[in-house]
Amino acid sequence: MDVLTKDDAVKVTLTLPGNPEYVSVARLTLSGIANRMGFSVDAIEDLKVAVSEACTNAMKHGRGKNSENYMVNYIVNHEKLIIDVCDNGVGFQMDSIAAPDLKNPKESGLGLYIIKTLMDEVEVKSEKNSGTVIRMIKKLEE
Amino acid sequence: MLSIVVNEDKDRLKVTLVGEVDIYTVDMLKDKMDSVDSTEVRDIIFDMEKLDYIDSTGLGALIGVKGKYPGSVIKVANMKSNVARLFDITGLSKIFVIE
Repeated sequence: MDVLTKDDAVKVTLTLPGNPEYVSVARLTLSGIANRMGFSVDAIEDLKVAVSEACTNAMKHGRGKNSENYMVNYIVNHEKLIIDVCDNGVGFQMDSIAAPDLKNPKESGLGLYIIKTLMDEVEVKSEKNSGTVIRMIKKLEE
Repeated sequence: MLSIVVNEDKDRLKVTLVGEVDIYTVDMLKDKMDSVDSTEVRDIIFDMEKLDYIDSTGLGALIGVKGKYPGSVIKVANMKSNVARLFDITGLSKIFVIE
């Protein structure tokens, strides 16, 4: 997933431990960047949830070790924010990102659905044993 | 961070959530709900007035509570707009009583 960067594109990279305690750091960083870009308070709340869901996913589908790091790239690219969450985990099957079944609600599986709903574009690249990249794009409102 | 206050009043359980529910803090919520004496519980109300953040991990925990107390009415009260938005987009606002 190469990024077509403009000269003024800025990339901020976080390397986080696979420890749930640090997901809030990804949210705080997101808040700072999105606020600086001029996103609305509501949009920043959406972005915080999306990045957390992707980080949660990275830990769940990581290799099951707390020490396993994953990366969050924030790319400020012209009028949009691109967020890549990359892990080196075992990958997972994108079996469905269907809407939740309310007659039989499940405790897990909501994360990717929420990301898809909150972001403008979402791309997931997951291959067995070579990790997963979740790319999320949110455009600045006019 | 998350803090949880549970008030039991006869058959009514009030759970006040303050802070954030995410993958780090959700186990606190699950443990707290597991520690409740569940024999008499009929109504459960989650007060979210001071809950600033929740994501799928927290929503999953609430679904777990619903599964544990199938005969109970589970209410969610005083949600902030960002929290209510997640209940709406996931459809959970239809399976919990929103106040």
